[in-house]
Parts: sequence; structure tokens; C-alpha cells
Amino acid sequence: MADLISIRDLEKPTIEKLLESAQKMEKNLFTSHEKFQGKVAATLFFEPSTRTHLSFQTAAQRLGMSVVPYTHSNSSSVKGESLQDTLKIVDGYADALIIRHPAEGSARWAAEVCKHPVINAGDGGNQHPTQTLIDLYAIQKARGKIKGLNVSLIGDLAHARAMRSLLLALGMFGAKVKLIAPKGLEMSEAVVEEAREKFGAQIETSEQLDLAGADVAYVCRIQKERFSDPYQAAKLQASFRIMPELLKSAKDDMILMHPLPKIDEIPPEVDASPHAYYFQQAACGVPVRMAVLEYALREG
Amino acid sequence: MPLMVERIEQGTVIDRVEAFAGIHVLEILKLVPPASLPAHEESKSDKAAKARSSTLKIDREHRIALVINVPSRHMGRKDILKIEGREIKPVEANKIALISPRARLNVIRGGKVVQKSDVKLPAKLEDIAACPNPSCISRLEREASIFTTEKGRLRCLYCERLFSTYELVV
Ligand SMILES: [Zn+2]
Repeated sequence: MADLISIRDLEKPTIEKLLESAQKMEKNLFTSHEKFQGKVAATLFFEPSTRTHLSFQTAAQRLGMSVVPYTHSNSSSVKGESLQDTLKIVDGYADALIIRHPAEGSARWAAEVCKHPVINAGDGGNQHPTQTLIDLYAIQKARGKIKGLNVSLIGDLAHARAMRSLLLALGMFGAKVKLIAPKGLEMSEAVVEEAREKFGAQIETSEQLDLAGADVAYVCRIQKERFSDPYQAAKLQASFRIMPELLKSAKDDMILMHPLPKIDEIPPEVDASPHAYYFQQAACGVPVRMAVLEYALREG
Repeated sequence: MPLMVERIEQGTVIDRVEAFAGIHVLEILKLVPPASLPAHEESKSDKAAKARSSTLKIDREHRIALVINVPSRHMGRKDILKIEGREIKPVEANKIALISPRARLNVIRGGKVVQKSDVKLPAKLEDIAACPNPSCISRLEREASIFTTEKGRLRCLYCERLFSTYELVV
């Protein structure tokens, strides 16, 4: 049994194994997995995230597990002892707990409270490790490798938790990363430093939206709610939209990724472009989360 | 002329404190109220001051000398603290190491130094300080967080954010 809390806890061989096993899961998506039958996964969502919740439930069910879903939308009671009690009660029912909670570090704390393995499905602004694994898997699936690829991370890199974890993972796997963010929304210097120091990551930064030379363009939205001036936010968003004309400058085989849901940073007419890869990327969620459940429930 | 400070009979001399960090050492030891509060409250009313001190557990019983920014062979400049009638617990020593990693504790008994020890920042700091991040689960569920040192900075085990040593204390 093992928890999956943060991408920082995972060594490269572990991630490689997870990606390998996700590949097997994808190949055998419709075969039954007897060893998981009779196991129960509890999904505890203390903040709504329909997509992630559905993806985890599907993954558990594809493995033959039963799912006990718990959704909690009343934020006033998401605190104090009630959280600990809820966790302990559900821990008594289930074989694995999948938790999403707005407090940073909540998943690690839950893992201390629970006897059964805990999988982090997003802890506020901190981590969302299965998203990072899905991103790596999707890149590897499309391009056959990660090492040496030119990957551009584009958008509000200051606030996107997915981008911070992905930067570390890409560094670990030897991709060349270009961080493209509007002024003031740059990636945290501490994370850039961390990726450079731990993995010798090659990272360059730019304020100019430009797809030339990229093998992978990974776009995230400008978080308008973080701006005091909505006009300024809209202006930034407009200057960072992936318009069809812009895609003409991209390499033929560049893939365009997005963690979804996308708002207006990628207009719908781009969906038909051969570069658009985000729906395939989202579909990777189920096999990757199946692999994660298998990892969490493994013997010994 | 060197500054003259009277000797103490019983207590602790904290030497090699980083210059200007001495006042924060006193805050850590709860010998003065934190800088965010007025240190001298007697002017309002003794009662209010005492009440405030007791909720913050400020200890106003000791005579203290704080020498700031004096020359040091080791460090260029340093602060020195002399605290009468008070010895330093290991947890406090770890906390002092956060802002003064070179500090040396001299235990004084009967006017003599009976024990010398250097503070040390452990690789893992447990239950010493609260996480400065208001969104961190440790703020809801624990009194203090756990930090690991990373190149002189500290990463919270829970929210995984990095903090300077000063952020944890002040
Ligand atoms: Zn924290």
C-alpha cells in the first residue's frame, strides 16, 4: 500500500513504472481486473471538481472496484475536527481514499490520519499529482518520449498549480522547457530554481507568446478572479489566446495541451486543428488513475 | 571603550547572535512581547498589560541585558544576550538557530560558565513553528507544522511552500 500525495515524493523509476502500467491499463481497458473486485474506493470531494471526480470514479469502476462518493459543498463545515472525523469514518469503510480539499497539505495530513492509502486529487494551490502523471503520459503517448522535447508552458504560470508540478516532472524527464507568461504572472522563481538544482533542467523564460520550435505547447488559463482589475485581466487573456493564425507558425507535429476546462484561451475553432490534443489528453485520465489505484493498493 | 554589562550569577548568556537578531531571540524566548505589540504597556494599566502578557505567556520576571552590534572576531558584528534566572530549552535553542545559526549558549551557575553549547538547525523541525501560509492544513489541524531544511530555507511538509527562517519566527 502506498499514498500518492505529491509529485515531489516520487522518484523517476516510480513514475516510469506508473506510466508503463497506465499503458497496460489503456490497452486492456475493457478486461476485468479480478484482484480489485470487492475493493472499495471512497472519493471525498470537499470542493467540487466534476471532471476529476468522474475520472477517478470511472478508473475505480474499470478496475472492478466499488465507489463510495462523498461530495461536500458546504464550505463552512470544512474545518476542524469534522474533517478528521469524516476521514476516520470513511477510512473504516474503504480500501483507498481519494481526497480533494481546498486546504494546502490536506492530503498529506489525511494520509497521517488514515490507515488506508490516500490519493491526492488536488489540495488547494499545492499539488494535483495525478494531473501531472496524466500530462506526462499524454506527452509520451503522442511523441513516444519526453526527454529532449521542447515543451512550452504558456499562460498564468504564477497561479497554475498544474504548471508548477509539471515543470518539476518535465525537468526530471529531461525535456527542454520554455516558460511563456505575461509580465507579473511568471512561474515562481523558487520552483524554477528547484527544477534546475534537482534535475539540471534546461529552462528559458519569455513574455512573448510564440509557438515556433515547440514540440508541445501546454496552455493554462489566466485566472481572472485573481485580478482586481477585470479589464486588465481580459486584456492579458486576449493577448495570450491561441488563435488559428498563431498555430500556422507551429511545427506540423506540435501538440496543443490544456488541463481543461478551457474558457476562452483556446477558441472552439482550434478544436478541429490537428494540433489540438487536449481531449485525448483528458482521456488519458482514466488509465493513469487506474494505474495510480493499482499502485496505491499494491501488496507489501 | 567596550560596553559594560553586569555579570549574572544564574542564567544564560547567548553569545554570537547575528547582529540585530537579538531582539527576535527575546521574542522567541517570550521575554518580550512580539514587535507587533507595544512592549511597554504599563502606561495603559498594569492589569491590561498583565492580562496580555499572560495570554501570550510573556515572562516579565527576568533581568535582561541585550547588547547590539558589538565587534566580534568570529562574525564581524554580533549581539549578546544575558538573561538572569533563565535557562534555554532544546526546543527554544532550535528556534534560535532559525535566526542565529551560529549562536552559542553559555549556562551560568554560581557566576561561572558551567556548560557551553552551539545551537544547531536540525534537518527536520517538528512542532517548533506554525506555517506562515494561511491556506495550509497545519493551521487548521495542528498547533505547529513540520519543516525540512532546504539550502537554508524551510519547506513545510504539508503545503510544501518554502519559507525563509525569519518568516517562521517573526
Ligand atoms: Zn504549510
